[in-house]
Amino acid sequence: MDNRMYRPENIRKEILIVEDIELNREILGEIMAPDYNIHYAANGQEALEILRERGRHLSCVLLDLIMPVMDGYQLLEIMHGDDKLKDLPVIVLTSEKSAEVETLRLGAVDFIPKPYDSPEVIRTRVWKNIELSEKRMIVQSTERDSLTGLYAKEYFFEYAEQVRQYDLSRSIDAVVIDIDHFRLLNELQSREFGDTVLKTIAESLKVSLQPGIGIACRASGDTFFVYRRHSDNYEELHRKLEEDLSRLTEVARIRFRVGVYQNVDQSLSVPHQFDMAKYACDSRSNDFNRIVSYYDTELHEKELFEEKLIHGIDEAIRDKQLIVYFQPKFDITGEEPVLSSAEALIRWNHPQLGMVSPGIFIPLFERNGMIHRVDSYVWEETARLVGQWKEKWGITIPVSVNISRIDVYDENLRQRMSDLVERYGIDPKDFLLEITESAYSEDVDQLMAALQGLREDGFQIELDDFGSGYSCLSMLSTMPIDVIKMDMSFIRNVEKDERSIRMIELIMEIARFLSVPVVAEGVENKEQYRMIRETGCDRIQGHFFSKPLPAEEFEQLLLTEKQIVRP
Amino acid sequence: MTVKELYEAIGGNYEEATMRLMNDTLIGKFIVKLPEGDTFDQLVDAFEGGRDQEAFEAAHALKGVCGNLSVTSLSNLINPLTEGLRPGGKVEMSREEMTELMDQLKQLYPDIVSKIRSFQEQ
Repeated sequence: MDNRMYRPENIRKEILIVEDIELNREILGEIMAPDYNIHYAANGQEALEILRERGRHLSCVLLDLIMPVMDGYQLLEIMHGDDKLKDLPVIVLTSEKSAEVETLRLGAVDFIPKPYDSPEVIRTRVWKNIELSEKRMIVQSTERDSLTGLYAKEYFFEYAEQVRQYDLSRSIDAVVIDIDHFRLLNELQSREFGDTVLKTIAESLKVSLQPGIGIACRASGDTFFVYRRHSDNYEELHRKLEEDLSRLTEVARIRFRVGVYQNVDQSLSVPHQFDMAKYACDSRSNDFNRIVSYYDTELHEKELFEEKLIHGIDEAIRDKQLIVYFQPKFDITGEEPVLSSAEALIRWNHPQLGMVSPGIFIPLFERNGMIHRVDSYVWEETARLVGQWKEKWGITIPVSVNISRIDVYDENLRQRMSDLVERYGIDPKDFLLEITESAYSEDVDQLMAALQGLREDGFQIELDDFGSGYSCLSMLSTMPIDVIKMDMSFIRNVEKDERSIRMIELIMEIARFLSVPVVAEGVENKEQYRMIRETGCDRIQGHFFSKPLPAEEFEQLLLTEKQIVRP
Repeated sequence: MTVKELYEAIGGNYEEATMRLMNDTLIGKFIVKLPEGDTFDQLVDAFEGGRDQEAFEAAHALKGVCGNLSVTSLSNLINPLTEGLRPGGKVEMSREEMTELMDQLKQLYPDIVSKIRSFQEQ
């Protein structure tokens, strides 16, 4: 029998022969040399040095027991206690039958008696043991996540499946733990630190999930799943995690979110149960004080509602369920307010759900990346109508469109806008671009480059929702802006307290300093109008003057207005 | 002299040696190393000096080598001696019996060594 057929081609493995009698070493070496690259040691100490250096590359150790300096038993003990060495298969060379039990206990996998058997037998035994050991390693590596020691995701789901089948009457919770801004953490601190964070969370989970309570896995780079016996309260988990993580660093605060789906519906698959827990986890997006979120019916309905919106958007665009409305802006610097421009707003008239507020679907689509479709549609429609009014009536009315936080960083934006105005025969200065202040908080350099490019092409930039976001004064002085739109919150409070008026006056000062006009958005009554006017604000947009109008109605308004004051 | 003939001369088991070491070249390569160690001298020295632990270790080493080389004539002496010398071993052997084995070894071993050396020199 030629045992070379057991050998995979081209891989010569390395083994270590530990034997103090030179002749025996040589004989063994002679036997094993055709198939392996061999290292030799004359005692346990020498063997240990080789193991420390080459341990990772070795496939097997042939170990004599009786040796000076350090004998085979001692070496076995050391290897058994060393994480890096304990999985390396050791075959003991012994003529003593009594040694077999002891060495098995110490982790040896097999024996080769002395005097040595036929070379075929020895080689086969070595090969078989190496093969077994390798198979074991593969199983281990697929079972567990090597970094944290928790289960790997697939194995976790299989295990969870068994857990719930074993006792269907038991109430189980699915929990998702997600680290906020993990990538940023790795970049600001280091990859090692990121790994430490993951290991800390894993340890914390292991401790809290004593055997019998639940199982945990690392589901992705920065997400953990836990499947456990029901608990009413997860604040304790939250508190413990915070405590364990706070020990890692005083500088960074490691934020995480927890989503819990309690008393899982066992008619659903385990992955589906975790989808729901994940949904609860992600739903907390704006409420930064709430760390633990529970999936409930309200959330469930919200989820279903959002699903409907997501699935319906393409049809909505096709069937013109999405309609562009125009809200007029009036110049109030003169005696009488005069129409100066309009803002294009989107409305969704859903066949089943009725009028869906942009306050709901815009953030949703911004979150899942579909916002581009909506914005493109609005821009296209708006450009078309503006071009049409110009052609039909000779009226040029500047209209502003919203550029989302996502779109503003699109490298194709400039080209798209240019193409659009060209196609519909509009002057770029009649196509105003409203960019929300929260866009300014992200990549400032990229934003600046994008805005400058657009201005070069003749577009005007309106800074929307000013005062609500993260912009700082220094940014204001460097950012290219043509108009400031004050956030609605200032207007709303202007009647109630002194401070709002002062704030508005302050904004007016800034605007004057920058030489840009200011638009007050959301003016709803006469009193607000009067107060705003007194601050010297240039323009107003709001229900007091006109609510947003569908295209036909706005067209009517255009025709009746005697004059239009250009922005 | 062939390897086979050498083995016959020294009371070795040629068939067994072939099973283990495959061919004459290899057997020849290793049999000539037998005289090289000083294990035998250590054994004699330790036994006569009453240092039984040391004697046991030397005997044990020699036992292994003779076994691997299938020098049966030596194994027949060294194996029982090793068990007799084993500390805490089950075999009870009197000093006399062990001395008897040692004496036989002291006669046989040098004889085998000289035969191997002749083989080597040819």
